[in-house]
Amino acid sequence: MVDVWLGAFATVFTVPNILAILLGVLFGVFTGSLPGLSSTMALAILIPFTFTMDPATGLILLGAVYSASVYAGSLSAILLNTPGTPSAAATVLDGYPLTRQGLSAKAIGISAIASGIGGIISVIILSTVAPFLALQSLRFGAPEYFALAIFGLTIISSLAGKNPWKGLLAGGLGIVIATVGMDPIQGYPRYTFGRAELLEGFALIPVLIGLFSASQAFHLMISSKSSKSSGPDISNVTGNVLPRLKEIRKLLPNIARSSIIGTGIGIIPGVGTDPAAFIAYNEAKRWSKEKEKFGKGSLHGLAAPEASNNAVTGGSLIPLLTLGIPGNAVSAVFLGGLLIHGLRPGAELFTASGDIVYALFFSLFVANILVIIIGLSGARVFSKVLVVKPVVLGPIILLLSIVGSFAIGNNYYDIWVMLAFGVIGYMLRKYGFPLAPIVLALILGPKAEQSFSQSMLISQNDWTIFFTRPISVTFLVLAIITFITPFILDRRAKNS
Amino acid sequence: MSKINKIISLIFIVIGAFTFLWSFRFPEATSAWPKFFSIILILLAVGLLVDSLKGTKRDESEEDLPSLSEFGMFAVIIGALIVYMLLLNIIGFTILSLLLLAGLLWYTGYRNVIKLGCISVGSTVLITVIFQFLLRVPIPQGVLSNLL
Repeated sequence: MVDVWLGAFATVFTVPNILAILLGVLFGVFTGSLPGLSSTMALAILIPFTFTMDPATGLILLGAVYSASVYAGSLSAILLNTPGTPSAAATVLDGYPLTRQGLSAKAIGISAIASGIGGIISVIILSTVAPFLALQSLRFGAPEYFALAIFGLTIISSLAGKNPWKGLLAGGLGIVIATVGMDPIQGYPRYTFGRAELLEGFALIPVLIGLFSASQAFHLMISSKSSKSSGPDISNVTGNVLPRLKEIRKLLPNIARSSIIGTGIGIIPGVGTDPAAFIAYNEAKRWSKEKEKFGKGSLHGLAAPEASNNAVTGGSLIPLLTLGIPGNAVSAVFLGGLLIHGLRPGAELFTASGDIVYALFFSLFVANILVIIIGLSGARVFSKVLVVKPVVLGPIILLLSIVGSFAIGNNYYDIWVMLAFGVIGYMLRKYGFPLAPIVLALILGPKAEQSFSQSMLISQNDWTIFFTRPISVTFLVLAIITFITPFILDRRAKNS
Repeated sequence: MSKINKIISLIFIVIGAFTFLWSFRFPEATSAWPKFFSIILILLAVGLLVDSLKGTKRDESEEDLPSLSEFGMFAVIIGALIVYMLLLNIIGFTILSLLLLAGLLWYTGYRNVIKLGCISVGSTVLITVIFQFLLRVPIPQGVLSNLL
């Protein structure tokens, strides 16, 4: 094990990889801090850049962007009273009141420290839990993989948002779209209409870029023309960035608790960063002796969601890297980054490509330290970033989406696919349909179909095969629980 | 949102019905999965339709049918992209992208001509340099193919 970590250390501390972490953190801070640009969009648009890179460098870059963009959502939450990413919604509660008290620099500093520590704790948990879990996947056969895929698909009910019908419909659409191309067992072409390009189905990366980047570009362009706002009203960064040692020491138990909450929630597919931040905030309030300060500029109220939402990043990589289950939209895009380098989640990833995975873990550790350094040193520069107008970003994102889609396979067809999914994504998003279920279904649908067909072949069409194997039954039970829990919670909330 | 939900439900029902009926052309072993999920899609769309007819208010925004100007703007952007795609192989990425960026920025209300020019030229050159020269992607350059 020591050899593996030494190897990871040697891989990360090379000029290209340190540069990848630095650029990744800066790009993540830029995209995360601007309201309207999400971590998912940032990752989707970067995947084509990583295509020609060494797999380790590519993943290190994506990991750094993921960590930094989640952190940077807090910047506009603190300075503008608007979360840069949904994960920073809870940060607004105490972040903006601190700005109004003239303590914005201190708020940015504490947010950076809490985010960095949250990320580091989650990476430690990730690197200890993930290899063990990945080994368990060696015991999986086709029925287990089918049950696992079904479990993954039921996460859709958690990702559905306010209107469960729309979330489920988006998932259903994703599964139907995933049937385009040759079927996984016999290779019979379905819905290809004689087009050779459709035989392999829709390539994941152009679909991801279309759904998350192009649709966002359309939204930015159309909304910026419709609204006549003169730009955000940005507060100046005032006060000391570096909090006192005594203050940090007081915050540490809260940060540690929130980080563990965030990692735990990150592991559970479908929950995501925003609930993790709110749960940590509530826990911090419950444990605090100064409950009345929450919502009025409490440092604990700021540190808790920040530590928790960054801890989700490491947590969400656990089911992704070990079982191939993306628990949220960002990790679904991250999976795309793995797949273009031929890396498949599971035990083999940790054995055959262990050097890459451990380098990724170590790089996340370094990236989170960089988040703290950049957060503390760049506080006064961030307010300048926030003046970038969305109207400028829309066309540039669109151009990057075009060239990025082309770069994967060097063909025009992928650009058309990206544009088509950009239009679909824009329309669906506009009318309240979440996009994450489509991607989840696109990834897991073919896996479910393939393992179902294989299971039926093994059992000679005996359905009980799924209920006589302990791992398979466990996943199916988890699937039922995962599927119905949001509905029960919704009903309970309505009744109360 | 109710009106648009009904329209979207109907679109999903049409998609589901189409994929269901089309799947009868496939051999039985390969058609079961698409048939099953086409039915699921139709049932979910019917669910949304019934929910909308009942007038249940679940959605966060009250956004309904797009305004004519918004729809027109979206159509212009898509139209520009289709023209861009059709000309990409002939005129080439760098020239066309520069025109597309400048055109879209102007169209979406950016009126500072000097900044607009700088952003268009700067972004296009940067993207070309990164993809064509650093990442070695064979970007189609059309009329500039002998120069770049």
